[in-house]
Amino acid sequence: MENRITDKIKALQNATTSPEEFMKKLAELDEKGHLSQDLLDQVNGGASIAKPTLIDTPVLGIWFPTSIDPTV
Amino acid sequence: MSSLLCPSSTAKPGAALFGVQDATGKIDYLDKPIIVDQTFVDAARQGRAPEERFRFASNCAKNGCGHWDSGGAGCGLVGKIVEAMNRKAEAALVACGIRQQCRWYHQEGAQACANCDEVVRNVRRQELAQ
Repeated sequence: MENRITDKIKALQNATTSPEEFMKKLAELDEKGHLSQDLLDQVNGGASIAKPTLIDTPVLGIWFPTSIDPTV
Repeated sequence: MSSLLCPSSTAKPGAALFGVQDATGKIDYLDKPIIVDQTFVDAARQGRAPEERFRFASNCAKNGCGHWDSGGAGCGLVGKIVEAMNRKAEAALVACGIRQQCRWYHQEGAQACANCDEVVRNVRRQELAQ
């Protein structure tokens, strides 16, 4: 089965001449997937319990849907 | 048994890149994960937050993570995601390079996979700057 992103990354790998260059090019990959700014402003995530947090909320790591199914 | 992988890791050297968010907001999964290095992380930080473009996996930190549920002895996050998204698993799961080692799959099975491809992690930029 076709895997578009895998094919794209393979092409990227073939087009680069060193592992370092490949890593740089891979890091630049941006398929323009995004969330609205409103959601980004509302959601915080990924806080480690080992580090002080910037805001005092019980759960800082929140995942959220990138699309909402209105039928659910 | 090797450690299970957390599929919501941040971009850091040694993490496994296993998905890329596409323009529709869903995750395209790589056939095989790619272990990223410091060069990748440094370059990725120059652009849009890598955690908002890619999905990374790394060893589950268990008690070292704020999502660890000591009572249930598992990740507390995946249950919340499955409940919030409420998507039913289809017979055929999308190919995923980390499934067999995935903490979420280990706990929730196919339900975790069904609800995984429409979520993305947002990491506060302030923390990244620390």
